[in-house]
Amino acid sequence: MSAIAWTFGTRRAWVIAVTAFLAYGALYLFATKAFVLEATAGFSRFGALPKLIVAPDLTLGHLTRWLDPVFVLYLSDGAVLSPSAPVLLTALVLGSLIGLNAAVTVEAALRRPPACERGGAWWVVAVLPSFLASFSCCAPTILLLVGATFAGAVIAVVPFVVPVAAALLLGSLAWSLRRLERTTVLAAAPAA
Amino acid sequence: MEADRTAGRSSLKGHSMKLRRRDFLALSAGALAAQACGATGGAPPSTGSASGGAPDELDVISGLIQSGGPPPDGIPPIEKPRYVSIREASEIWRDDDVVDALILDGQARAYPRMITVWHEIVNETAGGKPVSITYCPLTGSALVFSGVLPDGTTTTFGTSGQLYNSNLVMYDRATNSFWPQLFGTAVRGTHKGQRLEELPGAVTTTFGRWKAKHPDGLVLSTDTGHARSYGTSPYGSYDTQEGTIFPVRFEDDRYPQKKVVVGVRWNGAALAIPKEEHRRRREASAEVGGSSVVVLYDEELDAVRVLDRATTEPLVAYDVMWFAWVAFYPDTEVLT
Repeated sequence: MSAIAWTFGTRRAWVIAVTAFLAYGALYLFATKAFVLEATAGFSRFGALPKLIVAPDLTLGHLTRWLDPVFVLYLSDGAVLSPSAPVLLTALVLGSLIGLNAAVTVEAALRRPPACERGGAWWVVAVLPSFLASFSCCAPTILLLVGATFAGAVIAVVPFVVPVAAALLLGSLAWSLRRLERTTVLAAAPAA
Repeated sequence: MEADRTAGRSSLKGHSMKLRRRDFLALSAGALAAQACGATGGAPPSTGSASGGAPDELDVISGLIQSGGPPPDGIPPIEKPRYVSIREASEIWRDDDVVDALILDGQARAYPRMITVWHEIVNETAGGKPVSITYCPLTGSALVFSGVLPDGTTTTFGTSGQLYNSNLVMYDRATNSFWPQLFGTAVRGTHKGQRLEELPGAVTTTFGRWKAKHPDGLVLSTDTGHARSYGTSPYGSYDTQEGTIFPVRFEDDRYPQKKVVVGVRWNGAALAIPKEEHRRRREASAEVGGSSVVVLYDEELDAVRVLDRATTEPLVAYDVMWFAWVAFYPDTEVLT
């Protein structure tokens, strides 16, 4: 039995993964201002809600443009969603990795296979850069986070934050799965 | 009225921005003087097209330009602006929404900041020639530039993604020269040291006031060719919070950083008119660069107009955040 199949053998693992994915995705979109809640905005002035506006100049170039939303969705008078393709992909990829890491870690801890008796939550280390990735395209948010003094320095490193976060999350997931794989496979193997 | 000639406390901020103030003042004075020399007679430095800016100072400025984050045109200018009538626009914009407005080709036009905050430049034509309406959200300044470069080449402008003193650095698409908006002079590229022609007459007002004065006017449409969440600002409450995101070269604590002043450059000198105070004063006279100007309050538009007393011609005068004005012009006079 693979470690992934073992992990997601319970309904709880799915709930943890999906919850972590949605929570991170929402936070990421909010932090990048791709999702805005503004009670007094009055978005109904732009037409009947909900209103979807797809980027009129949509091209493959959008895949690399952090500041260029692919659509604007006015959800209500005070809520609008306008993610760019990189922001959307980052939310999906990092959110999925965080969800997977969370499910694997929690399941391993609760069901206690030998591999997880010590350590196993290194993915938590990767959560910080993945959250920092939330600020990779929005200087004002950086200001709020670290203050003006360091904003310039942060802007210099943000291009590396998303790949670093993804690499850390992938590494942590691979490490946890390999350990689980050994124990679950060994446990399922017939005795010699 | 008295112009306060006392330079405020200046400081250098940012580890890469070490320049002694007296050096800067000397260079800045040289730059302003050169701009004035580029203008003929009493014409404002902003309308001259001849050389302006001492080379050393331009190199210093060029060296202090820093990335704001986005790549060139990552903040995309509006290239083919569309307009709607005031009546149509009234269904979208509230009376207190801020617009930058002017008369172009005899037509009143308003540019809602809720749109321009996402684009910073609107490339337009007037009289068959390119004109760019520019707005820098980080310094709160809107200026209108001719797209005819000093050598006669026509161009449109793009956002370089770079900043100087937290201010938009535009680039012209004909030569890729860099033009800090509040400086109006190229600091890098083919046109280094040359000034752009600035068009007078633009005001920052509210949609309601502009609508009342120009009920037949046109308003920039949200159909910009780009998808943006108009109605929100990517800068949040930046306008009202203390502090800048990016370092500035000089600071002066006589006023809060984000206080709105009306900036005027004239005959090689700079004058700041605190807007709120001038609302109460209504009318004043001032000396700028040795010339007499009249400062009027336009109640209809809640705007400040500055005229050359001798010719009654309007000078280029625009709203700008105090911190930005003194960062560019630390020896500015202030109309108190």
